[in-house]
Amino acid sequence: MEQHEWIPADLVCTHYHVDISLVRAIGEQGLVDINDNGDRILVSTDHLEEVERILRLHTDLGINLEGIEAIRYLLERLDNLREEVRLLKSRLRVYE
Amino acid sequence: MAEFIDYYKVLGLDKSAGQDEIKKAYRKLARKYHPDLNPNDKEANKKFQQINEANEVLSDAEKRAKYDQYGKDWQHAEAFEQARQQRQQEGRQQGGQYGGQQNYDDFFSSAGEGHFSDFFESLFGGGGGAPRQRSSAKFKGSDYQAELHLTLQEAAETHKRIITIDGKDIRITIPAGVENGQVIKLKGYGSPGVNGGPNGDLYLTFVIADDSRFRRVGNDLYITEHLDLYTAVLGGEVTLETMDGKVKLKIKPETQNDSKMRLKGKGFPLYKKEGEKGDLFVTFTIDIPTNLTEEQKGLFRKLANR
Repeated sequence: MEQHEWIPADLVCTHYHVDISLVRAIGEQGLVDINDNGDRILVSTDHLEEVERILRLHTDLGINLEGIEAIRYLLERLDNLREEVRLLKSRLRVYE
Repeated sequence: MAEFIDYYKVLGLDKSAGQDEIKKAYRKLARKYHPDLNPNDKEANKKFQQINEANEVLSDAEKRAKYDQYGKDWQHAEAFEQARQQRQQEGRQQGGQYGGQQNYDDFFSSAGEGHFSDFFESLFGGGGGAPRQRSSAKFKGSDYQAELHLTLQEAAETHKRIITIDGKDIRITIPAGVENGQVIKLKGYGSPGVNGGPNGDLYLTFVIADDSRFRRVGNDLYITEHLDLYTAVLGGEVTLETMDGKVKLKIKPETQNDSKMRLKGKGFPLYKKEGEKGDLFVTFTIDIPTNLTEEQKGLFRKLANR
């Protein structure tokens, strides 16, 4: 069975000076899986880095969650393209 | 000497810019160069740091006034401040008239964080300890980039390495099968975060040297093996040196020059897939005998019916 370690979202919120509703919205938006049992919201430590990144983008740059979702998609595409370029370069070296 | 940074230029503003314009310019540039939007980009991270510094100074009326007043002559400003502080201290010691004035030492006290440029630290004290307008804003430290050079043989074996970053030894395990140009991220080994933000990350790029014998394409290896004419014509057995030891190969009779043989699972290890390997492709080059005796030449003529 897959096991996760969890961290209470209010700890994250205190650290980043954001309201708990923002973390809940991140979960509702489907950006990161959170555990919301009504009383308490928990964030998996596996997803903590991503939650922090989203909070930084939101608080530092004022980007809304829809924008962050679009950015994530574009960054993912950028990563894939970089990887493709790297592989192509690696293959090209053979013929040089 | 600390390099002078024109904070107005950094934000693309002129000296008469109002607070709204500064805020707007900062937001716009921060969106462009934020480390989370530019992972692995050293230049963008550097630019982001400058933008932050510029914003810290220009959005604070007192700091901006000092910056505007001294500009490029900030070094003289520092000397001037020191002289003034000395005079104040002398005045206090003498129970004099300066006792009730603002203590500039406190105002510009060093936070000792060292996240700002030399210029910023020279101007405002280490780490820019003055109260910041966006004191709650935490920024991730900038990322570091480093290269790790490996031979092809080293890249084929899982092994441990110790690398030194900022005087700190980091022990890393390099899995077999890393590719040339592949980048791994070591979280938290970049420069320290700003305002208590998380540390940056270290991006390590593997640079794998070409090997004189094996050519690697993905997970496959290519080598050229020389065959003498007689083995190529009549068939036989040769011993081949692969990356993980010697193997015996059966050579079919009438093997042609430039013909290829594929040895499944004798290539390069697959990254993070223990026990799995690509293939080894052997290209045979047939060596024509030289320095033949007359007798040998005669035999060849016979074969050629001449």
